Amino acid sequence: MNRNRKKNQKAQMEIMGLMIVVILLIVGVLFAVKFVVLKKSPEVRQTFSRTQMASNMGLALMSSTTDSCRGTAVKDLLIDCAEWPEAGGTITCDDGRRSCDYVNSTIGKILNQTLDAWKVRYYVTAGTSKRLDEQIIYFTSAGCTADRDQPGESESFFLPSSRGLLTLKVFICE
Amino acid sequence: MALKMAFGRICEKVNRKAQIKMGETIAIMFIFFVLLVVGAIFYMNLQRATVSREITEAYELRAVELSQVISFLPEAQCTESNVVKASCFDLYKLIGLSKVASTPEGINLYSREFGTTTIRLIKLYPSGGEWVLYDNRKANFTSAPVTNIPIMLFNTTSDKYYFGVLEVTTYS
Repeated sequence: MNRNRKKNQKAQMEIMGLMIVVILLIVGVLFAVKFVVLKKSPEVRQTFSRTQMASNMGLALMSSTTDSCRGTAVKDLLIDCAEWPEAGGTITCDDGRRSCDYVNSTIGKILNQTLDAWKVRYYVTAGTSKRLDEQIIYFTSAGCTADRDQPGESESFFLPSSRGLLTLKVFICE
Repeated sequence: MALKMAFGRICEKVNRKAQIKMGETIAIMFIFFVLLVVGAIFYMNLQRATVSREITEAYELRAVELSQVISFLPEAQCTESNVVKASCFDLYKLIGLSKVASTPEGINLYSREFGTTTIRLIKLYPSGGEWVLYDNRKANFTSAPVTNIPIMLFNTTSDKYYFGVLEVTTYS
């Protein structure tokens, strides 16, 4: 009886030892995960790259001269579209399309060849109102949408129009 | 005689028990070292992933820096009545730069600023046109990440702006 109890106690002690080793291992792995996997990468560099991307993209987009719309710049088409959204704009391009249609397809084409091709998540909006359904331009990519707050960097460009300030926003998601 | 035999049997029993204990200790040590090695491999893999991510970010930043350097070069800047336009690249100046910077003399001259990189200019909208501005590849490079920077190109003869991309390949 006494020997059995001793044996049981010894087994319990051994199990306790094993438990301590396992707990130590788990704690070690958790520390590794916390400090290595979940370690935040230097934010400044990423933020700088994204800001530069958004800023350059917006500037280059707005200034581009259209190839078949009477030599007008994208920003002029945007302004025209924002001033006459009901009519789809007043400028008629060489192919018969109005400014809203033309600027939408042009920006879409450029974004498709650049940010989409580079697998950068983004959204681009343009409009005189803050409401999403009143935007004259709205492009999104893979889950990066303007309807909710997202982590990332944005750059806004302001253009004067008769309907108020037209805001072109380029947002690059993290 | 009987006492001697009994003593021998006890000794044998004790020896066998000690051997079992030794075996147990060795097994525990073996498992412990296996776990240690697995942990070390896991940690090293994680570290490798982190380092490669940081390297990629550093390359991106280097590419952005390079685009800034190019944008401030008088050989690339857009000017109107001697006034420099911000974030604008003169298309013809860049085409001229591509003819100079790709020669051995050009590489020698620009290697201080651009290092071991390849910088390509792509005119995206309206489509058409690709120029290698600078090409100084590193011999036996292990990786060559590409970073794209959207830029505004100005055609002085037609007074039009184009949408372009500066493609920077950094060799390491």
